[in-house]
Amino acid sequence: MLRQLLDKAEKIILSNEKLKRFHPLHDALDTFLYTTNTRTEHAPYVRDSVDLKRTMILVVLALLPTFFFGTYNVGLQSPEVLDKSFLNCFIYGIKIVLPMYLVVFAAGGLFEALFAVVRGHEINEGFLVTGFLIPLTMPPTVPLWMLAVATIFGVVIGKEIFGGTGYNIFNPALTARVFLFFAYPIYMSGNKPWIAPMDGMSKATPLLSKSSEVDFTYSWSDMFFGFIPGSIGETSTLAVLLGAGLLLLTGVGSWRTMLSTCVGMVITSLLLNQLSFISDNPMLSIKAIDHFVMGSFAFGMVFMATDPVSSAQTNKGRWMYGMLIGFMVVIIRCINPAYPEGMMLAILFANAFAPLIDYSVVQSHIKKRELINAK
Amino acid sequence: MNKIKISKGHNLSIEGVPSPVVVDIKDPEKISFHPSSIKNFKTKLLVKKGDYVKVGTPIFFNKQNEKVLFVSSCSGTIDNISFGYRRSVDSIDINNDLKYDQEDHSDNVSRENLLKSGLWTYIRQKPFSKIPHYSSSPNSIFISAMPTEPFAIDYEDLFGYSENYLQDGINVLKSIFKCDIYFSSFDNSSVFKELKKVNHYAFNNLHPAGNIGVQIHNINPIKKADDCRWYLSLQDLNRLGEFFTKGNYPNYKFINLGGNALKSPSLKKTLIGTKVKDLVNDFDLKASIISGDVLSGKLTKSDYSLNYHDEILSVLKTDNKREFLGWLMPGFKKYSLTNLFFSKLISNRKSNLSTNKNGSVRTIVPVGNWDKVMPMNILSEYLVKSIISKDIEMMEKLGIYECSPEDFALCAFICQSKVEVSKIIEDGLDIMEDDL
Repeated sequence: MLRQLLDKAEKIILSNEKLKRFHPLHDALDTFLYTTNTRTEHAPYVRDSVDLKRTMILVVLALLPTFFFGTYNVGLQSPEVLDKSFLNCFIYGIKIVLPMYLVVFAAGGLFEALFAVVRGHEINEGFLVTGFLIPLTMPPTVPLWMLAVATIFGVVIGKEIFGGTGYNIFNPALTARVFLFFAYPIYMSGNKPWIAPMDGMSKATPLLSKSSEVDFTYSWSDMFFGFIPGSIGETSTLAVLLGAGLLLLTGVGSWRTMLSTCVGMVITSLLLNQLSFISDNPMLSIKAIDHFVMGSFAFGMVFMATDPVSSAQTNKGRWMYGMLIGFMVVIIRCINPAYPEGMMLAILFANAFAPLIDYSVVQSHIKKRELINAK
Repeated sequence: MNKIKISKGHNLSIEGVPSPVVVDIKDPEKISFHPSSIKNFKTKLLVKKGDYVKVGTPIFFNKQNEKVLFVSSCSGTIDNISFGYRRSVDSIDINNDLKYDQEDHSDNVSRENLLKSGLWTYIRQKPFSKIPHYSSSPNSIFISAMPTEPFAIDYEDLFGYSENYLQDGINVLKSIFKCDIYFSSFDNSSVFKELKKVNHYAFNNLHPAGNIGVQIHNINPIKKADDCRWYLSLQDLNRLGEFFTKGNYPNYKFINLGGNALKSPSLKKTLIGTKVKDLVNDFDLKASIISGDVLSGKLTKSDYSLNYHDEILSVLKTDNKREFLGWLMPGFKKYSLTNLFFSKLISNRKSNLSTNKNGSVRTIVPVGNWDKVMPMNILSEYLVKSIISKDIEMMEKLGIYECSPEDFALCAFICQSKVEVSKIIEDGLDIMEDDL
């Protein structure tokens, strides 16, 4: 019956000149509810069952452990929750996180739809992942109106002005975050925003406490399991690794990017460890294994760096791109006095360099071809 | 014997694989030729309605390649000539009188006789997959006894254990063109190793290893547009040998009929030009009829004969069902080369692939799927982008002359954005050919 209703609605929309331009909206709902039945017009006449919806939904599935743990951790960290049972903490967290999701999907979805209608193309599934990522990159205390503004900025400036999903240079979710980070720094850095409610209690994230030389009280296992303050999705390395497992198993996330990011981080932190005698900067002596569980390194590596569009697109390029992220994140964390966390900036920096990396890979490929042809 | 291993690719498993036993069919009362189905073909007719033709009588040629003659495969009168868009010749129908009177041909081995025989038309060249010009000569000739596309003819079974004219065909090519001939077969078989005057190569059985383009890429890569490799199918080589041995035009062809919409998939020996409806009629009317294999063929109608160079007829189910919340379902029955469905955990069984596109068209999102099935040293994503932006110089640098649409069919198959990769490569080659 639902099927007939949709078909009837489509007929009406397509028969009316004015309504016609809103067809992308119907199409989005229609293909969300039912698989398509378009026939192939060109060879090959058979096609794989995979489509972009399936690919994108898998990233969302991979984010679920992070989502659930992050929501729980919001309650766990809050002084307002006295009974620290899982359910209590989760309920407290979901009251904060759910409105964030509603705002992000409403604001972002509206602009996605607007651009689809104006440009006359179908609504792309890319925002599904972007929208799911944005709240996870935010501190739990971020005001909802800010979240809406950031989301719109991420969608429009980060993606749509380049032509939409597939054409963007920067990761849209990170573009949203970096906007807030520089526009409203009080809400995004320091030791206030990480514990809900804001102004209730201040507690520094591990990176901040390390950089400001206050007593460092976090154990490695706390940081690995995620019982620490921080942005909603970044705290638990374990939850992130569960998602990484799914991404690697299904081949949706690039193992090259993830591995090379790790390698870059390990090499750079080992180097800085060797140099720690020249300065009393405590960040220089952070070990690679601590870098791995601190801040958003794991989250960024698994979910942000691997974005297929804004990352390097050649296999060799992915190695260089990952190494660059690993290198930059440690450099920003340790040597830059202004920002104790560097993952977001490192990825955006590497995003900007990804086309150049690819260009050099393609040029060297062409050179090799020419050498072979000259024989 | 040189062995080459292809590690990327996939052998599609679709229901309806023909058995290798040759079935003879009744000769049809009427045959047809469709010059307009050959790419960039400007037809010049040599016959008119009512003319009497014999087996081997030239009936038309391409104005740009006027000595390469296309000949009749039966004797009888021209029944009808129909024209299509801008007076292109859509079809030439010939009444078959079943007498098979033969045109007189000289069987002396020479270029002229090969052109007159009508068998030159079965030779094609890479790049551009077209019939070579009558005055041209190849750098080398490739013959594959190992097609790997879905429903491909099992040549080992067809020729390997019976008398054939393959060596005669090779001798003819060698004496006319005096170039290297590369002969490829499966690495686990020794059926054709007795053939002489050829360089033997062996590939593993993983599609697209059987594609001529992939073999050329691995053995003797094309360097520029006029650096031509010629190729012909094994049965056409056999017919070439037969012609120069017996002196009569071999007017038959083996056709593999496969596909999940067919009740009895089989290998048939048919008169060249037999219409689809005379070949097979036991399928659902809604089924898609494809001349050629499902990865690189072209849709056709039952009133047409197969496209000139095709030796496979695929008939596929069409599927109009729309699954509720399909993107969320575990997908135990979904056919996929990716690990995104639970069907991956179930052992490989014959699939029920249909002509459903299984998704909506999206922009290119480079998750690296193409790379999983692309065995050639080609940056496929960059080549495709350079074609879309019509950057001729870049296309050339990235190696477009080595590419053919069929080599990219698996990329199009696996693409989650449903990008028409094969079609784009075809367009790119058209741009390059126009530019020459």
